[in-house]
Amino acid sequence: MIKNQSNGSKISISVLGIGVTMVILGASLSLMVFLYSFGVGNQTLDFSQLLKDFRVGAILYVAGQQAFMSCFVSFCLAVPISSILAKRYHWHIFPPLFGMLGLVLVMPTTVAAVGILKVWGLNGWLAQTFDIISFGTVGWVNIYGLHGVVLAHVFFNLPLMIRVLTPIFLSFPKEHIFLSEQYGFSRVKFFWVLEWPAIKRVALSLNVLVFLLCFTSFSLVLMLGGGPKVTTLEVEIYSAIRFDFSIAKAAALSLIQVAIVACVIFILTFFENGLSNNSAIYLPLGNRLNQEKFPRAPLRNYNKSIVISLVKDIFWLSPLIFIIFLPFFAVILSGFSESLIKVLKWEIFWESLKNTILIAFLSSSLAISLGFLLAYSKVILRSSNFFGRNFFLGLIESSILIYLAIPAIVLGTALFIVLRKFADVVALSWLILVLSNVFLCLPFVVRIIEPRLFSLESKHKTLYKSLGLVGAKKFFSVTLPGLNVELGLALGIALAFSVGDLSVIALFGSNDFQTIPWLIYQTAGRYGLSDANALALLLLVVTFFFFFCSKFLVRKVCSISVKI
Amino acid sequence: MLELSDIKFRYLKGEYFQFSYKFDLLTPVVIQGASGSGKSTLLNIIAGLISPSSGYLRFEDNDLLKLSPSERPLSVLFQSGNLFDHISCLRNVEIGLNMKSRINSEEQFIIEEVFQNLGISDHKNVLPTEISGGQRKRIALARAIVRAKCLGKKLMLLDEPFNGLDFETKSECINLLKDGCFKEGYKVIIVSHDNNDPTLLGAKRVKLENILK
Repeated sequence: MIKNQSNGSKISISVLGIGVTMVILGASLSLMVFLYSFGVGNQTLDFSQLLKDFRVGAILYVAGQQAFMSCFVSFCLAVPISSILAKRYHWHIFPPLFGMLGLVLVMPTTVAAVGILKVWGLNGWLAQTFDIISFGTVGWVNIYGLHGVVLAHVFFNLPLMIRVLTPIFLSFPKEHIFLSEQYGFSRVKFFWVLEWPAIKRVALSLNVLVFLLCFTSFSLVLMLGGGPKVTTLEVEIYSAIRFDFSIAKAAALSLIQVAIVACVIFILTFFENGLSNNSAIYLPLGNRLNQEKFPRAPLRNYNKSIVISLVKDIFWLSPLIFIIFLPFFAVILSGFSESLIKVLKWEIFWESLKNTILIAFLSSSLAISLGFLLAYSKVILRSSNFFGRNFFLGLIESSILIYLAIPAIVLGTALFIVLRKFADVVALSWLILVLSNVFLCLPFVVRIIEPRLFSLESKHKTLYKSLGLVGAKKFFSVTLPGLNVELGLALGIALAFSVGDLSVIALFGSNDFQTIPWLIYQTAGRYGLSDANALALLLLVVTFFFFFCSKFLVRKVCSISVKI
Repeated sequence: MLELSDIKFRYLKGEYFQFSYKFDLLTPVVIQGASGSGKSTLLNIIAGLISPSSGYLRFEDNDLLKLSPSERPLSVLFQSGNLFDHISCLRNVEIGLNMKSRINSEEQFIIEEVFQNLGISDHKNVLPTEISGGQRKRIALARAIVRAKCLGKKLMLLDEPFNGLDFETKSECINLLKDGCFKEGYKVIIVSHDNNDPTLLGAKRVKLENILK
């Protein structure tokens, strides 16, 4: 009886999960088919013409160039920095430094852009310092353009890569470090024998993910690209709708983007089981480094002076200071100005804050519910033996990763074109915003919840059976409390991503409907940099507040659920 | 002669050890003591893998504390984690020899001989992950012996070398140690839990409490 009840609930959950997957994939596919027919149906533009168009080639070249450079620079910096952080993990500064790198990952892109401008801009801290040093004889490099976009992408991707690679380096058994010391390995030998084999396992997935994130980047390119010279397909789609009013062109560009991203994911799947199976690349958001977990011995340099070794390590860590920490602190320092009081008095600020919070709560609740359902369905399917299991697992995985193939701006465009015939699109813009945020958060939510859920389900399988724990009783008394840390983190990330998102809002933002990221973008664009700095600080505070509070909120909910 | 004099070491968690003892090393030594009592800590200090805060450590005419782990005249076998999992068993042994890209014919001969004596010649080109725990232990032992023989490392520190080996394999390893190391004048310190080991090895038993101050 219990067995039947348990199987019944499992079948219901997996059927529901597969149903949701079908809806997501079906709707996305229909939107793409609709976009295609819309694109070719319009006589003003056909695809072959567009592909031959020099501009498309140039866009792809520029987008690819900046993505490659961002990826290359991030990886080249991340490897030595991670290695040094792993070597010096016993430093007291290590835990706060590593935690801060995690915070950068959930920082809104608009806020980061403001911080980067404050440090690297023409009137920024570094330009002023350089001006003093050079006695005003040499000018500073203009941040707008390729430099700025690459720098901003490195700002986000360097912490991501460091948080993937450092735990890998820290997980070497201490005996291997001892062996390398006993054998007298040089630093280069140590890299080739120990570090490189470990990096190789994640290098391709990590770099492809970062490349795709940069290739499909929107808000950073919009804010720092400095015009059409540096652009991406997403920015061009946005321009086609917002400024050229050419929906046909936007549709065609959207399809090109979908095709390219799908091809890259397909090739990666062919070579390395895809992005989905390599959960290490999603760890930077999930793992909290516990130093007790890594009993690694610090690598010492017997033949070198401690001072020289320290100076060399600090030199390698210095990019963190200039690229990440200075812009991070610049947001905080420059935000505290007279403008802060001024901005707090704006009616539009409170209106935007209300919209931002409302959309973030709706998006994250939906992302957590859907993410939990899809993760549970995957866990059930993984433990079953039925025919077609892998096919359904693949379908669920595709629906989770849909945001990589169909980015928010493309989704927004498609929904805009479909809905404008039936309803007032501007009035429904919040709905489109919520949907795009859900797709953005879904892979991270599933990736954080799934491993723990799988462990809870498989580890205690026989215990559940012997205790007769099934259905809601099991869910509230074991599953939910067991997932409290992961759910808290997933909710925090979903909230932070949703609060800071500047993608679809750029299409639908108007005087009647604004969010804080959109307000920052508009304010900065009107040369109100001081006001934009204050807004950026406020958005940062809101983002971190939600990120940290969600953990406690979920813990409280889970502790109550045990008593049910 | 290995002399430890007032060697002091404190772990970050606060655990504190002080060692003082003179090993004559005319015969192999088996150190015995309860779990967590500091046996591995002692071996790691002698090997230079952890540094004591003070004290004096001398082997024959060498002040060991002034030498880096790779310069010390000793070869170590750890309880676990002796092999790099992503490189072949043979390469694991070769990599412990020197930083040269190629090994010479004499070293090649010693490696072949040790592999044959330990019955692991068939596993030379496989990865450590593809063989059993007992076979991995023998590869690690081979590495320690080869390193001692090829690089003239006079002192061998073996931390639980027979752990996880069946009786027959353990006997083979003991015979190899006796014939290949003890008779050739290598000084050996072994940490073991098994009370029969000192007798089987013909070694002197030293209780850790006699070394701890």
